[in-house]
Amino acid sequence: MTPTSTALPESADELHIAPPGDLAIWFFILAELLAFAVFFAAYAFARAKNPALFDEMQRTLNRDAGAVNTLLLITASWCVARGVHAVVKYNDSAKASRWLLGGIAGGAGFLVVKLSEYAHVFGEGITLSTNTFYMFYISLTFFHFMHVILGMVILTVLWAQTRKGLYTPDSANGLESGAAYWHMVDLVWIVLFPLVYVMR
Amino acid sequence: MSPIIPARKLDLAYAILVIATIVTWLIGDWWQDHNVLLPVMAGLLTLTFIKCRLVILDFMALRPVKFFWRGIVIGWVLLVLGLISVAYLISLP
Repeated sequence: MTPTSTALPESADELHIAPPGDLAIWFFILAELLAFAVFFAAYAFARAKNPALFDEMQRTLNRDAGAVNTLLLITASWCVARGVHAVVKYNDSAKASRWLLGGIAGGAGFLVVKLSEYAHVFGEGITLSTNTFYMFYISLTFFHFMHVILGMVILTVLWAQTRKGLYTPDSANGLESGAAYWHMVDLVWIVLFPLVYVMR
Repeated sequence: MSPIIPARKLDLAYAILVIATIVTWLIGDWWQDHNVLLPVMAGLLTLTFIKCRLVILDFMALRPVKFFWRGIVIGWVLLVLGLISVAYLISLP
């Protein structure tokens, strides 16, 4: 689709009643956030019962991999946000599809780094029943990992749709909904990284 | 019409997120060999809140949206970080 010649005004000062995307996706996002909140609280209170074990086990994690993954996810989120911006402000599908491709690359990088972490952990013979720390580490990060995979599927669909020029400033609900889901995945990791990899 | 966050704001949010992540990373390395607890934890939680707020307001484009929606998601962050803080205080010797 050819970009419109005049960009739409930005709306930072204008108050919108509803969030971008479908209302249904926001209810889904809130339900997901609630599930992660329970998980995070359970981890924090389990750690409070045995901080020495959690601190000792945390030293066995690859914090560099966790930090690189944070950078990959925020980069992917930024790319997706710029992709949405290219559509809703400039109606520029070609540019938006390139930004979305950047988002997909960031997500793929996250999965590769996480898989290498899992390969190391499972290679050491560690399982869910090794101890409380690893029970939480594996289940919490794997729960998030599954969300990244779903997010990647969504981003790939959005990329294909955007390449066909199916989204316009007046009809960007699908794109905005998928983007909101992806940002939720990023948001959760931003809490998970300091909680599991850094907090002592 | 969809809420539109200016591109320069998205870029600025990204730059701050990268810097805050690198600082969090450095705190993680430093903390392994130092036994300073509360001030570092407070700094870590503050950084995490700043990062979450940027994602919510700019990337999720909730900045120009009615407070109700921003409030719910930012409230989630405050609830989670609050619970983590309480658990951390309980764990202190």
